Amino acid sequence: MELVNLQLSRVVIHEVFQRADDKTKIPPVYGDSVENLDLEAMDALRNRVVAAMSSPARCIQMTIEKTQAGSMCSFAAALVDADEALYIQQSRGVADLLADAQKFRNLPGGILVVFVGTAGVPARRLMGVIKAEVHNGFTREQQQQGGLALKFLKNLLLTAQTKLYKIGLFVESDPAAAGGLPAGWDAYIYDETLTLANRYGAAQYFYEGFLGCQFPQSSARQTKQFHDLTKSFIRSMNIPEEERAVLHNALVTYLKADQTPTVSVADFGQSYFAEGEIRDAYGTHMTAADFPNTAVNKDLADVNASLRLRKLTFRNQIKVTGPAEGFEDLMKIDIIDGVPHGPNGPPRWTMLTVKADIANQE
Amino acid sequence: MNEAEFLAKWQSEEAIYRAWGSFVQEEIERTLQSTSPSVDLQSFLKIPPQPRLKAVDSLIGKAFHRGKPYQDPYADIEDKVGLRFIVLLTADILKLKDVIEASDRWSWSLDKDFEADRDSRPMEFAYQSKHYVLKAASDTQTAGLVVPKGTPCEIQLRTLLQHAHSELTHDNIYKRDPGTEITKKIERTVAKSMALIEAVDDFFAQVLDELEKSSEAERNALTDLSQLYVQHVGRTAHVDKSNAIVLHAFRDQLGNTFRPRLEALLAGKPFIAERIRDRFESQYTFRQAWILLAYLVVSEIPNVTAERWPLTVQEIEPVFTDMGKTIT
Repeated sequence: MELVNLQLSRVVIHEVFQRADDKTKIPPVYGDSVENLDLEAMDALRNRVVAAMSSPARCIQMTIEKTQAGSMCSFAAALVDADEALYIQQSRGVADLLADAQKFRNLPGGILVVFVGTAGVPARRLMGVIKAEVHNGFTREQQQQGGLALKFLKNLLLTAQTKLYKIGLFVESDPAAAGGLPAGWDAYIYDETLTLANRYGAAQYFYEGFLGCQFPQSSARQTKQFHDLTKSFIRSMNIPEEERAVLHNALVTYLKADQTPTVSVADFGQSYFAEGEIRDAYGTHMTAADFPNTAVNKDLADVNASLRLRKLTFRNQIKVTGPAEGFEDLMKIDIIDGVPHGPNGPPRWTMLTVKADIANQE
Repeated sequence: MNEAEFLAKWQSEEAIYRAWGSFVQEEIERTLQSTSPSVDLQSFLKIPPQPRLKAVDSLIGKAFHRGKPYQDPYADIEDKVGLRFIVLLTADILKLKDVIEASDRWSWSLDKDFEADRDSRPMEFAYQSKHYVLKAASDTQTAGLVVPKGTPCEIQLRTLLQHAHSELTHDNIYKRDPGTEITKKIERTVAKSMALIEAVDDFFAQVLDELEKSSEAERNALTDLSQLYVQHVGRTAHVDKSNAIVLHAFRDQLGNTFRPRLEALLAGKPFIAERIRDRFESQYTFRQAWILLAYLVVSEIPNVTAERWPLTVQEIEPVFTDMGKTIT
């Protein structure tokens, strides 16, 4: 998603801990004031959030499931309205919520950054949480007698090392929306460690237990839409047919074989279009068709049928079909010059090399 | 006036002539700067001008020993102080000419003496340097002295090439021995070099002309950027060399649609001007006119921007962040 003009108005931090050996909860340590960051530090924090939320493959719009008192969505709605004192007080509840959600010993503790602010034009209010794991690193230190020395830091957090934080973001997309929560609110998660394999497992405590969200029901439809739109873009590109064949194969690979838990315009563009111009044109093509600029949870239910077969249709009625997965390994396509029969030079012909013997003919 | 009287008068007035020379130099430089703000004086004037007083011996010689028909040698010698402006092209000389001829601090004439001298210096046959004599239009206060009305100062305007040619053919270097075969050969060669200088000057002018044309879109865009910056940010943008670099990198984005696109962006996203204003004091990049172009290309073609960005990533990253994007 594009967090245009993100402004953070209040930032409070709390610390949550790994569960004790007997799995009992260790109470969080609460922050008792809002952070007062200078322009440079604030720019860096904004950059962390924006960089994460515009991450091509790991920022996903979610469906808000839990809205009762004490849920993250209810906290979000309350915190954007709270004054400073109330904000500090209520944001403790968010820390408690995370401590409760981290039910397993293997989930690390960390610093929980709770912020409110605005983004977008017109500006929309938002509330977000960052769970930042503490890691270590070095800094340099000026010695008294001159010269430099390394100093070890054990308590680093929110460095540009993105694997070490997760973000949940609630945006008040329609302040005038009628009805109770979650009407008017959108939720997004960013989790660099999310994979196809763990998205319904290890990563679940954060988006479901803590944030009260689920992957959207529309995932299958959107994955199909992604496939169809990308295919039409590849068809429209002004490139040689061999390259087009490679891109069609790439689309199948991206959907079927790639372990990324999402499909996204930016991710596919970066992986398969070498030139910035084409990536930008692809982005424009997808946006024009209202495809989201967040990543979409990859769900192949609707698209599987389209991914089963690759079809080539030639201008002289010849048709070739084959399994889409691994198509490039089963058959080789080359464009060659045909035999000229007129003043216009040689026609374009296609040389197909099928890497197998004929099994049957009709 | 005999030699001794001449000398005494000169010694009493030397400081005034020096002051007049400096005054003329500063006045010309100042006016040039205000009428052509884009001119960088340091690079425009290829050799820093310096008022030069004529050496005593040379003065006496000119006044009394060269058979010149002076009525009043002291007043008639008008190059007692001189200034030389050396520029790259003949077109640059025109700029100086306009400045000199427009000033009301002095009256000007083309140096008759020089015209006459030229006849006696046939070696400089094709010499095109322009010599002016500027006379103070009124008593002029400068550097704690009063320069009386009518005090002359000689100005020479030359291109670098003319200067080189002139140095080569200067009396001091080249001793003539008219009529000999060797002199004819040298004169022929000097003539050829003068012809070449004229041709080169034409080529230089042509090159600059084509450069101007090819960078027209960039210059127009820079004007648009500066205007829109003042209008939206409320401060005057800085225009240092980085602007040329950034504009050049995105020159395919400029042209007729550039300004309307930028205006639409700034009107649709008023926060952009606010963010620039916030950082104006503290961050160099946000004072540059190109920052507006950066917001435009990040918003329209982020991938191309990331690929082509000619400065460091740190300089464009805050723009990506403001636009809710990340550099990939």
